[in-house]
Amino acid sequence: MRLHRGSVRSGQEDDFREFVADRRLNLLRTAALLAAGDTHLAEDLVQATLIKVYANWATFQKAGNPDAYLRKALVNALIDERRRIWRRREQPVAELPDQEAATPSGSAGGDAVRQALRELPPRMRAAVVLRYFHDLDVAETAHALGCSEGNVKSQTARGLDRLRAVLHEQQQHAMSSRTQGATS
Amino acid sequence: MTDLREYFDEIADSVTSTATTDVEADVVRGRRAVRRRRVVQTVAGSIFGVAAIVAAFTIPSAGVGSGPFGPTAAAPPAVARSLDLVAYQGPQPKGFTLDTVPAGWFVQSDARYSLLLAPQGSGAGPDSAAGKIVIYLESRDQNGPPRAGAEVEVGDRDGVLVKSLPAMIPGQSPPPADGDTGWTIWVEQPHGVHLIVQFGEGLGLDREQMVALTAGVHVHEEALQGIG
Repeated sequence: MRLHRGSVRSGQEDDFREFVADRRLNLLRTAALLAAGDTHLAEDLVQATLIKVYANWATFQKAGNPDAYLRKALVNALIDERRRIWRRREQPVAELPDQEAATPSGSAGGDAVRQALRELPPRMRAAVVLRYFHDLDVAETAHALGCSEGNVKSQTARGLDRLRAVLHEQQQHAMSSRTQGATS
Repeated sequence: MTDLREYFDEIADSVTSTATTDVEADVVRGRRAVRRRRVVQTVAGSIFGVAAIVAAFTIPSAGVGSGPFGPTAAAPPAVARSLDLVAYQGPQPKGFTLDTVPAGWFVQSDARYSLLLAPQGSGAGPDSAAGKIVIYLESRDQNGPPRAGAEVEVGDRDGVLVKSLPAMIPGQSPPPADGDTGWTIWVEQPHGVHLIVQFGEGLGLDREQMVALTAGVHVHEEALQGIG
């Protein structure tokens, strides 16, 4: 069937459905990390990514590396989401900034890492996630982020330092708690 | 690194599995997006055609950027100085400390998320930032200034002075965009997060004073970023 303006048409929607059924969960898992554990934002990122894929289905099918296309689209969705929030709040604040809400509960270490991820700027967070969750090399990460390899190295190093510091602090806290429990 | 990977997996596993309804919803959203794109392309094509015809018969009457959001929006403020900066003598706040404040001003609200400076006798309570100076860190979903501004040297750091957009207050007509609509100075801190000092409209501080006040703001470890 002939493509119409590069998007999905009739029978090809079945291919798109199959693609979504196959890949959506993995996209959500990556998005959950990019969103620092915010599952609502993760769903928004995946929806934005899949809309882009649908609207450019022919291009996507021709992409030499579909995974790279998806990663780049997810990261762009994250950056766009930040800009969208920015447009909402570009007026000067009339009230003082909101304070942080309670974080979702998981393991103590998981919560600490989730919190630390949330404190990283989006691009730095994406660099760490792509390097240490997806095991991408520096060049692949640079492609996904649309920046230089040097920038990836510096962003990753800074992000990793912060995560390590949080993990170290959490482990110290856990050891201290165990010691107190044993002596009481 | 193993621990980190395990925690990443834990966070990633917090999402639920994909339902069939999600797949159909993605198809519907995709169709809508394509329809919207076609409408926009059609309308934009029509508008471009009309604009091209109009432009061909019109002599420009104003320079580029003469509007409120053009390049001139980032020009330095041309406001008359009516306040002096004096050394801050009061107790130092928690997350941020101060070297100077405008004469006759005080710290109205002091939290680890923000610091609010207000003139003595200000009728507005600490929940209102209108006509005041607010000092805070950029939110966790921000990453630098939203728009281009004037580059300024803030102490030993580079900063950006951004003119605020006119405030839109229900029931009130907006101030003229070419007037003093307020200013914000952004200064990146060593940990990568920006300090923001927001000056309300018509405060009577000129550019040098705003930069000097900002240079005297020190961010401490206790300072926290807000959200949203």
